[in-house]
Amino acid sequence: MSTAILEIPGDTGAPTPTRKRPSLLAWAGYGVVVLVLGIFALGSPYFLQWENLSSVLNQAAVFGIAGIGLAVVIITGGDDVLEGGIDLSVGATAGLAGSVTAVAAAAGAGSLRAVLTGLAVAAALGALNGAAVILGLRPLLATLATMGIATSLDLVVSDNIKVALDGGVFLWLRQGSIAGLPASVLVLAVAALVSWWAVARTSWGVHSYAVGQNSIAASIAGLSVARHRFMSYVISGVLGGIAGVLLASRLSAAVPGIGGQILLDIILVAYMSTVFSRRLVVNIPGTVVAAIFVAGLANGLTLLGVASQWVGAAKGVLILLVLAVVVVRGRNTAK
Amino acid sequence: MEILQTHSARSSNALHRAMLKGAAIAAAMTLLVTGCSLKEPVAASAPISTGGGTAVAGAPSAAADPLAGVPSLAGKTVGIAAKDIVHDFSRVVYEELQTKIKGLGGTVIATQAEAKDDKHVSNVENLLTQKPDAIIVILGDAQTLSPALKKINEAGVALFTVDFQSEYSANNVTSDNWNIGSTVARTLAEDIGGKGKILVFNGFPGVTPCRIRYSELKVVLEDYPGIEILDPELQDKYEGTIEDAKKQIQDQLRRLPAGEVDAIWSCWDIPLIGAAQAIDPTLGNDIKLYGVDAEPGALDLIADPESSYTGTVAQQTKGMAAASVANVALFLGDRADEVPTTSYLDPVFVNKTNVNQVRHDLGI
Amino acid sequence: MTITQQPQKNLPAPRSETRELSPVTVPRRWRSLAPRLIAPVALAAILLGFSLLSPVFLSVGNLVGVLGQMAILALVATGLTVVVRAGGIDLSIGVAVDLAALASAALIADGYRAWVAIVVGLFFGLLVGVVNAALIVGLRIPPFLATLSVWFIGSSVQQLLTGGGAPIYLSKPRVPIEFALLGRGYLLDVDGVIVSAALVALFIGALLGTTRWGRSVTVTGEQPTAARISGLRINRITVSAYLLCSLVGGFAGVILASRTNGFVPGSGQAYLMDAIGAVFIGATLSRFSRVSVPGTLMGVLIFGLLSNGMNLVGLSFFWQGLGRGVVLLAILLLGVLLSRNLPSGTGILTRLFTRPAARSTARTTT
Repeated sequence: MSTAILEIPGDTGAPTPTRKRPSLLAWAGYGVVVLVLGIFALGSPYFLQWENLSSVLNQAAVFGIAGIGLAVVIITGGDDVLEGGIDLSVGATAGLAGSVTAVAAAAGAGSLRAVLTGLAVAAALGALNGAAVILGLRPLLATLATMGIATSLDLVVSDNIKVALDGGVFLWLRQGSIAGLPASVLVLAVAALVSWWAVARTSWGVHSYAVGQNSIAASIAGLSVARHRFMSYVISGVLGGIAGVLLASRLSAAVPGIGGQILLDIILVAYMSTVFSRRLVVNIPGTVVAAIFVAGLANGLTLLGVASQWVGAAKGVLILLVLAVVVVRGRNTAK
Repeated sequence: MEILQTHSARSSNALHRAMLKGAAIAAAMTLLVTGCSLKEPVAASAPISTGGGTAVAGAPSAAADPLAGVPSLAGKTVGIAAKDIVHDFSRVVYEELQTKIKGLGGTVIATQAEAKDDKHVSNVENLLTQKPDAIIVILGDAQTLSPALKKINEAGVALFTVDFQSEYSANNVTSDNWNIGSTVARTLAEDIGGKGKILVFNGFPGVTPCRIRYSELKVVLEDYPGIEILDPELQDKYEGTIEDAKKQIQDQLRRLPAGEVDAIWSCWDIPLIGAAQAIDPTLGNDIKLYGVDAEPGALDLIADPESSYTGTVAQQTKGMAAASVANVALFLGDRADEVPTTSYLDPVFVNKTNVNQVRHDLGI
Repeated sequence: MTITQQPQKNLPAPRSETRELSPVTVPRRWRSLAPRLIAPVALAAILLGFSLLSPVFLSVGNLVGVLGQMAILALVATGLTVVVRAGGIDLSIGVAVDLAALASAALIADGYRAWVAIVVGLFFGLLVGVVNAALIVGLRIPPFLATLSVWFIGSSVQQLLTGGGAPIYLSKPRVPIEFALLGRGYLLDVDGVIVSAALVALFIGALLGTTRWGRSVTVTGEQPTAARISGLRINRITVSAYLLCSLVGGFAGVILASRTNGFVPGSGQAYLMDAIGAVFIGATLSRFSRVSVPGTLMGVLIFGLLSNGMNLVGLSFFWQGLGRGVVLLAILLLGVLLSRNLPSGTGILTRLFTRPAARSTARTTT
């Protein structure tokens, strides 16, 4: 989808030999996912029931939305882990945004104002990340620092106590639905569609890929590298904030310290998206698919009656399997 | 090489040579297979505390078997959702529940949430979609879990809880955390003579039993105006708890004038194990430590007359699991009227004088 | 053990080439001292600040105590330095720490001799490195994802091996004295772990800084293409880096087991984020943003003194994360801003985008 358009400026620095790859293997990532989900469907009659599927989607929403934010950062910053784009603070930002929203709501601000306050704080953290990165800090480090700051502020704001978040919009986010689709899934769908459109269909998105893959070529071509990178962190902050509000609504309370608990899965989801792209780049639809896959994995293993101690191992092994299949597809870079 | 030398200085010469030959691993593995010569020569004393999985068998002596005469669970499926299995209490309950349910012929689907709130909710949801006959939730928090528990009720699935009071639960098995909290607090206050300063690990306010125990501490201390909780309260962590608590206490001991701290309180044992490790090697610190859960590591320290670890609370974890399973069986076997809203199992307060007796009685 | 021998054998790297390669990455004119002094200055500021705020902070007892508290983090960060120097990352080093601690604690609890527990502990740590190396070098899975997966698998393995996460406690009389000494011994009044950590750091530092193997690792990390062209066996070097990293992690785990007198699942991962932070703070010491053992230790020192100082001042843990984050950001930003004020005008922006680009170009020529 996105790939065809993106070839134009982005390809200057891209090493992947696109043409040589057999087209069949291009779908290998999806193949493994379908296979695994197929096994679950065969193993448990409940897996494919709409109720279960909607609960999986519901569980995937938070990670999907935050993952999209992270994906945008990686797209714009390049996928080199040490030097490229990464946002370790996205989990903590989500946690802080949830707490701020809950505290604001408890203090009597209207739902809308509470949410906006939460998102504003998240955006501010994103801006802090962005500013630090365009000043020349390694994203890994800058966001590690903001992660600490956000976690700490989360404790301060919430007083290390769960803050109830219920009623109105938040109740709807938790259990409302339109046409059978849970509210959180709708939020995920909207976030995914808007971001996918922005990344794949607008010049901004094309430029972001260009900046991420070869910043020199991009700046020679007249793109403002700094502006794109700055924006990517703000977007990540805001999406992290949305995910945080959604998570707090889902739990009907903002839980202090929850940011650290969700970070790993968010990172996983964003990086796994490479598997679902023909050019093996981080992308938006892939992030959503990965989020659903990871949620479905935990759900399916539970349905099959696999003891929870095995779920982590199964998750790791399956992810490696998907990755290995992709590798067979022929990634041949120096790393 | 140098890595090896650092400890070869402290280990035997034989080791040193074997390692230098670069065949240490192979040697170790071979020897491992061949057996005993690798073991320390041990006096005949009974091995204790290699963790609950291998704990010495032994049923709570007093109570009659709650499972006697309850209906079979054959053909029934019971889901278990544990908040965590990090500490002894929830892990033993979690495992014992499974054993007991299988013992009654039932099928178990077990999940645990690694202490993560959102995973706990997801687990409950995932269990519900399989339409089990009953779901048992171990620990949790009404605030975040209630919506999911309400769904369980609405779906007509029976809900049972362990150490977690919920309006949707048919039965909650607990050892009465109000009792535990106030008794520990009162013991602490009396032991230090009604006045002094204490350090507090500020538990996990989100975990219900911890919140109750902490509130009870505050309530009791209202009547002991001479006792002051030192500021700041200390952080509890789920990961690296012992080492982290040890650092915090070491730092606090240096910060505060000598003899300032009279006792340390925590809503569970593991941070206090670290605290004891920080305090015990120092001289002249008369500090008493009070926890809850009767972790084997804590019991070891309490049994050690030289350790500052003073008291903990044992809960009849296996008995609680059995009681919960009995209630599930009664409920599903059309004898729901015999199921009480709450089943209380008395906690056992452990101190330096009764520790060995309690260990013997409870088999922990 | 095998690792340490490898470098001697497979190193045909022409010495002159390695020397020339690195400076190309960052132009010479920014070779100013100012940005590189940030970490030391920050360290001095922390020392000064807290010594004003707390009378005990600068006491010998406290400083030695802090060193003891930092030892395990120092070991973990030192291990990580090797891998980062080789151009990778190891998110699973905590798993190596945990598995090693688990193995040695379990064996001691089971009555085995100290040396068996230590050797098997190290072996378990090494095992993590073997898996990492197989995934990264064998299957060519990107290090970040490979080690992230190993993290997931490793936490699961811990739970399986401990019957669902049961801590292992070692009761006093059953712990062999050699094992106890490893984590709690004293050498002339100095906490033994400080000595162990210092020796390991010295060893790894020397290995990276002075040997051919160290130079090959550096070249592999910074100029993979050039390294390959010049005939270095990149795969072997990468494998050895991951193995060494896990071995050091395993050693940290054995010490942790001895120090905490047992094993609590999930203890190792707690060190990961701080270790990453320390390693990259260390990179600011270098003209080429190159990570090094002394730099890493400086980073560890900053984290250790900061958290000790905040405790001594009596700062609530609510605010401690903020303190750490702000100090980290301040150090790094100052470094960047100082290099910006150098004569070279547009410096900072160019420098920022020079670094990744150097890699992109390297890739294109693959």
